[in-house]
Amino acid sequence: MVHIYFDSKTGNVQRFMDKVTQITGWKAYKIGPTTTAKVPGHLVTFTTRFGDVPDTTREFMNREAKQIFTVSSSGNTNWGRNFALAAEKIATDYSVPIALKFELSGTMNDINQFIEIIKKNNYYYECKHGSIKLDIA
Amino acid sequence: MSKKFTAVNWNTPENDYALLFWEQNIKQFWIDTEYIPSKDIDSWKRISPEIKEAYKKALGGLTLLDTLQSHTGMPKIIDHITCLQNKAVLSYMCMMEAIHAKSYSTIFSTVSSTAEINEIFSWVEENKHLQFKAATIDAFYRAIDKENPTDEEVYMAIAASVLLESFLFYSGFFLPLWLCGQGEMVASADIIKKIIADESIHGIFVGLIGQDIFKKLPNQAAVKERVIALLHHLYENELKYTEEVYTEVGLTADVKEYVRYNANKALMNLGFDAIFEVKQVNPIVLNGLNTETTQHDFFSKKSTNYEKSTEIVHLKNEDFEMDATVNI
Ligand SMILES: Cc1cc2nc3c(=O)[nH]c(=O)nc-3n(C[C@H](O)[C@H](O)[C@H](O)COP(=O)(O)O)c2cc1C
Repeated sequence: MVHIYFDSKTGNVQRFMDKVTQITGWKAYKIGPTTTAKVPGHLVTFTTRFGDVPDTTREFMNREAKQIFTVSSSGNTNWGRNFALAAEKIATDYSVPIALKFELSGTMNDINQFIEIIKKNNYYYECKHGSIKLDIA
Repeated sequence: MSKKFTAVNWNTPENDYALLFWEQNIKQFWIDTEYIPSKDIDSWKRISPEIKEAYKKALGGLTLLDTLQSHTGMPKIIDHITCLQNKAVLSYMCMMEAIHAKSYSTIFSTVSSTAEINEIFSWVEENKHLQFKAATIDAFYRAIDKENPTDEEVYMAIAASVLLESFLFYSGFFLPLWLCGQGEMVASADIIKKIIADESIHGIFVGLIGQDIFKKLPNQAAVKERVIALLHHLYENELKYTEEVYTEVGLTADVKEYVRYNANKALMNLGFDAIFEVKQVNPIVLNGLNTETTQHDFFSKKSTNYEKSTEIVHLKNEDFEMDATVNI
């Protein structure tokens, strides 16, 4: 099972996640001030101010970065170089690889691409993290 | 006493987003006269007469949309929004629309003669596709110009506003971005990119307010259909407008793709799904958006008299007492 922690202020990431979970049955948790990541999983957030990470996301990552496999960010290419920059800042600050940058609530293409990327990598990350024991003793 | 008038109280949040948008808008503040489009004079001399013609028309069309938005769209909508903090944010946006409308004139004044400029403004008045855009949107604004419009009427005016700001502008934005992506007219493009950042934040905010009203509508499916029908209606017109402005310069297909791409984004701002299949946006245009510009946070990075003081040293009387023992 894939677990995803997501942040959303104006509803785009929420709608993106609604579609992803509808298609896949994965579990998604909206990040709040006290959200913890008991099970490891992926992060989907958005970019705010001028290429910034939302405060709620940062606070969550300060607590739970160890449990996060990949980061994705929503944004808008109209912000030029600041497009979805939150993903890059999180990648640098917490050493988490980027899965996807997408615009607003994402097109069907973005959603399918996201699902593919996560599917391909989730098992690897779970093994690396130790939450699944490799069967090759 | 009949009606009670309420004062806007920013010390008690009315929702969880008004202050965020207020602050973002303040940080994005700019004025046309801080930019120097005259740096583009050499570039202007280099580009072909056909592109010049399309460029002037594109900017003329944009001027009309910003004029409509600041003089009619925002004021009419503000009148029917109940949340006072949201009204304040919209008023600020309304003021920025007036700055946008003026800024195209600032660009015109460096590249065109008075006679040419007057010609563009006459073209705007005579062009039937531009007039169609303005009239179509304006009808939704005028429909709420009364005491008690229905929620649906207010919602449709808001949806029309989002379509204007997140969709209809882009047939015009295409050319300055495309030129900038190749290193031409870059100083003027700095202004255009500031306008795009503003329109982006306006589209999100007005779209959010729209979504709140939409949730209360009893006939959501029917209203959503009205919005999609309006979008198609405007889209057909955008295609014709695009052909008229861009055929000579051979960019029609690319502009149409960019128009569809932004139509999708406008729908997302309203909380709906994208409806157009978009393959690829012209990479030169995206490059135009990405080139490093003078984008700045007006208040914290600029050294003019607008600069916010962060380290204030309070002066005391003693500070003015001369030290009599100073050696000269
Ligand atoms: C105040 C504000 C600032 C933004 N700044 C950026 C930015 O710097 N870069 C970017 O790519 N998107 C920016 N955006 C766009 C958002 O990242 C985008 O709308 C995203 O889909 C929001 O996700 P949400 O609706 O789940 O909150 C900004 C949006 C807002 C409201």
